[in-house]
Amino acid sequence: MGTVRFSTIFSGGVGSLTIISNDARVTLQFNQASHQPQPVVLPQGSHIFSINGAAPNGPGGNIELDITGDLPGPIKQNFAAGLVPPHPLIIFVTR
Amino acid sequence: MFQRLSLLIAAALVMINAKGQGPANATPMLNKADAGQTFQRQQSVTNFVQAVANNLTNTSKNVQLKASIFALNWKDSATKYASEYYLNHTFQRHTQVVLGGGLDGNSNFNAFSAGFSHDFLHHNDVTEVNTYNADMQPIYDLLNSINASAIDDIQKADSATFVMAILNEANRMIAQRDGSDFEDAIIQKTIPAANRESALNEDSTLLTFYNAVKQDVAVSISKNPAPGLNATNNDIRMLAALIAVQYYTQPLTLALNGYLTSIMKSGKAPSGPPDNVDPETFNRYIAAVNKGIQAKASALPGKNITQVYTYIQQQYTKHVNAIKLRPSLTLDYNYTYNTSIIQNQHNVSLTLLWGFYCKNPNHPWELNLAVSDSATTDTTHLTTNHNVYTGQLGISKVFASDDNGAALFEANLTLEYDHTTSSTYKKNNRDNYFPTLTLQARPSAKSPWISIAAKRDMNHANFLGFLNVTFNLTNPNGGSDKGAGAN
Repeated sequence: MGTVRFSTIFSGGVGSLTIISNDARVTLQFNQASHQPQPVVLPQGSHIFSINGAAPNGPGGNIELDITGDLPGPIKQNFAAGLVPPHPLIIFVTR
Repeated sequence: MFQRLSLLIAAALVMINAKGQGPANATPMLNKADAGQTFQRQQSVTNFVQAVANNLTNTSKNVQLKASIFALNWKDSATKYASEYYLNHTFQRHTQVVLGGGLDGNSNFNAFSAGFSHDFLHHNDVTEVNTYNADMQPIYDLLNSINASAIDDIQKADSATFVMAILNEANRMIAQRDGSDFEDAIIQKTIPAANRESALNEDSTLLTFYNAVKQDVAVSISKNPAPGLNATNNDIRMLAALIAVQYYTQPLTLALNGYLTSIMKSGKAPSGPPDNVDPETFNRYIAAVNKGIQAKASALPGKNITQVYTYIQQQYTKHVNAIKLRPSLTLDYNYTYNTSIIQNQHNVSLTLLWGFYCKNPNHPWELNLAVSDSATTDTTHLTTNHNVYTGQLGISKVFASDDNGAALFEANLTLEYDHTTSSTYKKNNRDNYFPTLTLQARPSAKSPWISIAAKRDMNHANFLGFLNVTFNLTNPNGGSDKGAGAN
């Protein structure tokens, strides 16, 4: 089993980001007040998540998603102001 | 005269540029909060910096600079636009300062003005609202399910293919009792050509999982007779899954946000797969998603990925623009000192803006209710104090907007009532009525507003006409646009 940490940085106002695992066992909610990484323990192998939300619409509106832990490498995604389209993300947990 | 105006506007631009650039990660969407605003909203309290030049065609002209206090905040952009800091500075963001200067008929400066505005309600500020539209959740859930299923199918198929490829090579090595070229064989059969050279040299995770399989091969070779490996070997399954994720499906999923955002902005699919994504994997994914959408056609607003994502963007834009119609209540104070005609003028006003729409929030109506008091000292009339109360009731209608819902053409009809409480001028009435029709247009959300106003003086049966141009000084990328306004 490996530990994967999800964290976000919001800029430009109020926003939200939801990350749900394909088997629905993991649901993570983030918003502009989320400051602490949310750790998830997962079995070794591939895991699919669905990402959806709304990035703040103010100046510099953006959500930065950082995923670290037992992965081949850190993952970083930026979501610009506006609707974060529903889309998948696959990761591989290394142990 | 134009030289002096240009000088003042240039000074404003220098000031804005010197203030610092916008956030490094700013995108063209960052000023959507401003872009969607109607003209009147932009005038109440601006999120950016404006320069306005009035009465260019008259003998008395003036130029104003408007800026929210937050726009003048000197913090570095990373700090300033971090959500926590941004949201904790509500007062700065909803308060604007105004500075102005006047020119007489000989283009000499003859007046100075200063003031401020503060929006007490700012319920229309979309940066303070989570714009996630929960009404769309069933569609989002369905899309998430279709997307995840498509990726899952590709991942499983690729993993199964790679398991067999690795297994065949492993058993071939075992049969030959020689595992020396195992690495090259696996790389050639599983990893995309562009990544083969660096795969086992730089990918330490791949090396770890590869070494586990290599060890299984070595153990098998050491036995006599050498038992072969089979498809249930966990090390082979993990190596295959890792290769499928790292070199095929994960690059695709990381690129999908940009790809789908491009569809939502333009309403059409980009011409090819995103960079660094295996084209075959991309095509399989799009085909699988389109198939999934067609299978759920009765529950989705479109027949393919382009139609559905364009639709959800349109719904999101409508949702955001409906928020922008919520009320704002602005208190303004302005002081003018004039060296010639009117020495001192104090103007206080309270303005309520409230939008609504019938069917399309991109073409809203907006109610404008304003009361003001103007107190002046007029030295041309032997230091006469002059006080005028004004009430305004107006209605605006947006007739055209761009794809993001930014107003491009709107009309405004206002009835103004002035009541002079003291010292009316000769030939002037104590009560006056001025109906005004204003047409405002701009070619794009980044362009200056051009407006034509026709004002009727009911008491004197006169028509007054105005031509206005208003520019914004800050551009959507955080730098500065050209900006000024003229009446």
